[in-house]
Amino acid sequence: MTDDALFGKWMQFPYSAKLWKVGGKLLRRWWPLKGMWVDLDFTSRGIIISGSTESFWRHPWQNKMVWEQSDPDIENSPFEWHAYVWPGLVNGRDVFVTGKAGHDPVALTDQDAPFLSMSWRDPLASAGVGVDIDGDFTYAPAEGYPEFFKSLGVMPPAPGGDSGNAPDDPAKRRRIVACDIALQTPRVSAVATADINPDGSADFSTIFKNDAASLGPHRLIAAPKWVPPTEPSAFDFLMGSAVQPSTDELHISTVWMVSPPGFPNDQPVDGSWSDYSQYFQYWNLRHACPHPPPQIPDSPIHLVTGLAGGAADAIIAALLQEQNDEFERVTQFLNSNQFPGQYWTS
Amino acid sequence: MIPEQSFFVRAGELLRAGPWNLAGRTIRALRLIPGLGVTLREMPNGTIINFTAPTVSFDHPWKGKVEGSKGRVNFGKINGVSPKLNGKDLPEDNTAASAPTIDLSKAILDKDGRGYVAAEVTCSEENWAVKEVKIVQVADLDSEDGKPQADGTTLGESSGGAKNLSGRRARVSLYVIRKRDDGNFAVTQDSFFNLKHRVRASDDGLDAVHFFYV
Repeated sequence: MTDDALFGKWMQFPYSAKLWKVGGKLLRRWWPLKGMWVDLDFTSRGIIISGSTESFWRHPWQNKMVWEQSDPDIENSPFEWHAYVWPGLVNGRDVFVTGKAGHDPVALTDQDAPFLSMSWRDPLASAGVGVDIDGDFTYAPAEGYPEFFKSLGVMPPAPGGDSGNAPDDPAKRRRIVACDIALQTPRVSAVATADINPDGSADFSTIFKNDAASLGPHRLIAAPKWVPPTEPSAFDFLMGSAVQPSTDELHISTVWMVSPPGFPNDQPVDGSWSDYSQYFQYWNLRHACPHPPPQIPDSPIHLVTGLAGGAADAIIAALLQEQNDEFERVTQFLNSNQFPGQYWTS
Repeated sequence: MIPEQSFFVRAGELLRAGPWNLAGRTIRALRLIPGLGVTLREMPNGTIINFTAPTVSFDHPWKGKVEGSKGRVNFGKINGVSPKLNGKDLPEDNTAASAPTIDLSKAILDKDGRGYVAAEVTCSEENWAVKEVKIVQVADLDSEDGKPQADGTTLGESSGGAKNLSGRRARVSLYVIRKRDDGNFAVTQDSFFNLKHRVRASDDGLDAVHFFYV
């Protein structure tokens, strides 16, 4: 069937039913249907045709999102999105997901694969509001989303400034939310203390903590917004206020959910939304800390500065000016008691 | 891009040639045209889209396969040293029918049915260089004999790197096997590339921590 019948001499009143049917038949013949290795996503602005990931090799940490009941064992339990993560390994060991309350964590390689329950953040909303020097409200720009989603008709993020609202664009009517998946690895951490003596000298000591061992092995967590743990600075150690985090963490992926066009703003995410995973890790990982804690705890370093007053000012000034050797000794002591781990691929 | 507002009319408005031709051009623009690796079957009620490109098999170093009670592993290298399995060299093309296999009917597993097919390196006395790579099946990467503890548990992970075993040996996981309820093994691949190895030796040179990386 050709499309010539749509045009040319047929353009005269009244239109015949035959002409109308020509268009209808052509449209019906060209309507895409899902075949082999194809995914179709029907939107009001077009049909997105993608190669099906089910046919491709699944890399470690790859997500499969499923809309299902939060607990099938409980009648009428609500539906929610679950992330099933294709197993990844750290140092060849299993990575676990916290199971139901009161149950042991479940390994990703277990026969009944565990899932992560998602909780969402809104990347379209202003990141916060403050007050400027004139007393006017100023809005921080929204987090936003990757360029890819603009072509899907996702609403623009709030630009910030005088208003916390995003510009209205009738052509972009799809909402978007996000959730981060991260890896946690327990490690030894150190708490540094500095004691200032009446004679102006200072004692530095380190307490080692292994609280995270109770968390068990490597774990995957899902959080609306993952924030990496912060290592204390050398200054924090000198001030005696350093507390190292008890876990090393790594951002594995971000799951983005996009709504159908015109989805009400006051409705929660449901099964009509489409999932897109953004990966930051594709391979299995190795992890190690710089070195294990010393077998015999280091003796506290005792420094005589000869100055009274604030510990930081006294110590730093004295070290920089006259105590270069002692400064090096302190630095080595502090560095020997820090255990931030490193991840690498294997 | 054709503005979609042009299609819509109000009740009672005459349907003119302009909007009709616009609809026609849009329908023509929606016609599906097969590209590379795609076949189309136009039917009265729609067009079936098929991708014809075959699934690419990722045949990489150390790739594990379990066939019944036999475990296989693809050829790979550690620091350029080729591995042996049961005293025989692994074929580099991974296709030899006579390639050595691992007998999983006697697999050593922990209490959770988990085991490893691992590469065990042996380092030289002079400078910790890798002199031998052996493919082994173990339940614990860090125990001397690869077996689990008496209660079926395994030793905890060391704080960094792979543990040094007697004879300057260390193991790196190639793939993990887990026995399912039906008796078959599920395979989780760990290593995908040829590996490099180095150590951080102790001050006296008698002990070390081993690191494997890509």
